Amino acid sequence: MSTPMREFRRGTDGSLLVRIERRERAVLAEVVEGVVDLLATRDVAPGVTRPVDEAGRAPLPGHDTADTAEIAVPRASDDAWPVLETPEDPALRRLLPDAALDPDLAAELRRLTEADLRETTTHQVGLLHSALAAETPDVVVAVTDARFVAAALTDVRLVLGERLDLHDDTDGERLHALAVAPDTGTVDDGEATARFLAAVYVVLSELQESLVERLVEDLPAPRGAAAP
Amino acid sequence: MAQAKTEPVEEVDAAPTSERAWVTVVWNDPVNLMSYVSYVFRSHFGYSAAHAERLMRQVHEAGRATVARGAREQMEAHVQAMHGFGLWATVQVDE
Repeated sequence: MSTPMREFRRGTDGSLLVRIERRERAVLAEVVEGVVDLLATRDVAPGVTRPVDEAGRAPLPGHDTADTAEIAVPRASDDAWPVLETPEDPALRRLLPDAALDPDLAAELRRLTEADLRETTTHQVGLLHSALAAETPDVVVAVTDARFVAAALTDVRLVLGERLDLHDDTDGERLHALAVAPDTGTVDDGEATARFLAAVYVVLSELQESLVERLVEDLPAPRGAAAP
Repeated sequence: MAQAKTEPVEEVDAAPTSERAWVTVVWNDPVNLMSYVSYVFRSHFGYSAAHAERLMRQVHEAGRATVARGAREQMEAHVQAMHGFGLWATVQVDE
């Protein structure tokens, strides 16, 4: 993947476009789909229906709804509410991180909010996948979707970063070197996989950088929000 | 951005938890682009470009920055929004 920089440009209707070669798009789409699959592994425990009402709150015990009639429904504050452990997979843990350093507070927030976050992230990664997989000459991102696609590019890069043991800025340099290393045909499978993931990471970084440039151009004047 | 450093949080116990201010802390990571982090601070919090840039630098150089302060529920919502953007954030009692 040593083609020139891939940069989002603005189309005549305001949507954001980038030309990526078809074969490369298919590769990127497949990697992105892997992240959707990864998120799907984090569904609630088998046999447990997620008991929430239309407002997203847990109904009171004994209050049957169409979705939850078949199971005994605990309250969110109830000890019987299924506790979600922090994901063991570091990539999944980075997508669905603890929301507090205090373990008890983190556990409480996780069981209240993880499902919503997973839904948000799955949706935005899905938007990125659709844009890559579409049968259009350019990859097209509607202006209203652009911020979600930018977030999705981060999500996928976070997963690749974990897979490549990217933990500080010097690792970033190592990763770029890996992405552009000449193919000598003598590397083992692990090295080949790392080179592939690094190349994908670099392409996604280019895409995100230019997408963010377009997003910044569209930002309104500051609302005058108070500094912390 | 540079490597995140997780330091233990010291909590003051002068007042009951409910009466104290809470904060949203954003942590550094090596993946997120500096331009994107500034963009998130501008678009989500409505901060000026200069303020967002300052906070982004603080995250990058100090490993973390307090980006908002206020009621607990509000800070929890900010943390969840940051996670949706792919930034790692935590909520805690103001130090």
